[in-house]
Amino acid sequence: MKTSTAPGFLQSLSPASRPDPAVPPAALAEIDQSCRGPVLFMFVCGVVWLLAGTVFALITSWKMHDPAFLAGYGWLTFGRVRPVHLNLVVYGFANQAAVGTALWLMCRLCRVPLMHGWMIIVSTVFWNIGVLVGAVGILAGDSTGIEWLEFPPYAAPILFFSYALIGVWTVITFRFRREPHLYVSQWYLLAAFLWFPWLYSAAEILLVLEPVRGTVQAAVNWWFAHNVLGLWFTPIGLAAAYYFIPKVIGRPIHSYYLSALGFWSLALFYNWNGMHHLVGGPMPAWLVSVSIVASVMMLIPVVTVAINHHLTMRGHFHHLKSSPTLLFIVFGAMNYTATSVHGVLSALRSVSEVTHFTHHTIGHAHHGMYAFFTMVMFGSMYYIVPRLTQREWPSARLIYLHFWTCGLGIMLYVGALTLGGVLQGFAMNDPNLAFLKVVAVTKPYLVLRSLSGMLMTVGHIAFAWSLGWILIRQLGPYRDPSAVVLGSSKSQSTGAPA
Amino acid sequence: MSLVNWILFIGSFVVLPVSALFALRWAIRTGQLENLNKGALVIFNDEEPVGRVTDRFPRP
Repeated sequence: MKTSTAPGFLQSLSPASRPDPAVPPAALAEIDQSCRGPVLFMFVCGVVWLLAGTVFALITSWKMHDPAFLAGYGWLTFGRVRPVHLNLVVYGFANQAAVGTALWLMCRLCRVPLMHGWMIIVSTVFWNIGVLVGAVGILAGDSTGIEWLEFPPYAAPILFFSYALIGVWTVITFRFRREPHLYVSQWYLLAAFLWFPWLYSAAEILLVLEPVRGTVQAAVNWWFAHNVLGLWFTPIGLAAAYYFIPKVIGRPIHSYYLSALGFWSLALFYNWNGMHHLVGGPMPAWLVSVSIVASVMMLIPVVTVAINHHLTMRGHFHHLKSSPTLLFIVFGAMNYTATSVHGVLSALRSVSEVTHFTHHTIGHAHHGMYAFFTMVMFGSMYYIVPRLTQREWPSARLIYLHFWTCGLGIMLYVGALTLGGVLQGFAMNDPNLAFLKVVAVTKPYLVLRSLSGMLMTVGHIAFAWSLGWILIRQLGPYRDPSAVVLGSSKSQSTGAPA
Repeated sequence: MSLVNWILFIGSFVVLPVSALFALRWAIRTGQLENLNKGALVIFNDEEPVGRVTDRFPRP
């Protein structure tokens, strides 16, 4: 029986080359070892950007209730630090956490070692150069002013080249897979890897390189901004949840049929959702109406995912006390349901009339990007990193500190901005109320936001500390995986039926 | 609109749906949508079988 044997790079690009059927699926330890350098590199870079993005988040939030804060520095004005925060946490942290997790999942689900690791390393180097160039460009005043695409035009080609390498790697890994059946997580991952380059390149061309005119810009902007969450981050977050929840508790997903239904309905309906952010704007009514209908149809994938995850976990909730991965991912999955249902309600015209152009939308965006996606990514990294380093996390206390500060922090954040945004919306709709009085209505909620940001900052530092600590531990010689005390030891059987 | 924009718009309406249809056709032809319950088990194997918990907090 053959055991090895990754194809050469050129060979893997050739349409004529095929995986050798005599090579068996790779062992988990072999896969983990092959992912070690590339995936850890991506995670570490992501966490560095998370810390930087958090600093800019705090500055931005503080300026909302104390405008004189750092007002003497042109490069630290609100219009610059706010997009730097957004782009650092989205493209610097979230993207690298997502791609790192996706690479590891692809290898595990395809049952192949990570091939051509140099592609991932080069891609990560270029991606981080792109993020750095973009952030410095925004601080220097070169922002495009287009939400979620503020990086200056000269940063985009660097990012796109980096992503192209990931795209090619994904196709190679998929072609040379040794597991013929695609698990539902792979459907989500492959779709996300197809959708993201289309979204990013189409939006860059239509908004930055060959800009469309007038209100079409707003339509394209919201098509991109909404879909980058729904068709890029959401599928990767759901892919992780669909893998880790059953994997951690040792029980198959409750209904594989529901998971397939959830995937195809997401693929069908999500793309149309973005226009509900333009309710009341100078857009064709049908365009907004179609978007609202599609937003309501999103209840199908959301409810199927919620039912599936809940029924999979039923009888196993006690594992939340013993698994950091499960703790974060179940928190994230519950918030996926909450933020999605909230999004459906917010898309309705009667609700949007109040909440549009208020802090409510910011709260909703953080609910999706942080309470759902980021928490799922934290949970994924808690599972993956010990397998790559062959070391345990150094401290359970640091993990608990991370979870509770980030969990409570984001709930306080979303609660404050949701309530404050609704009050702000009613106040803005009152023609007898002066604008400054509307601002005064929101101030207590903005202060609460800064406090919640401080809580999350503590969590991020705790996580970075844990990651740095485990990496320092890992500097020792590589251990025999069977000798390392991980949760996969046979003594941890649940006794659940096969 | 410029030619590039038209290509993008038409591409959005043609390329993405057609690629989705091809994906669905491939899934049906290769049996991905048959025996769905078996599909749920592919993440388990001899190394990490059904019934084994695979994560826990570090020991003090």
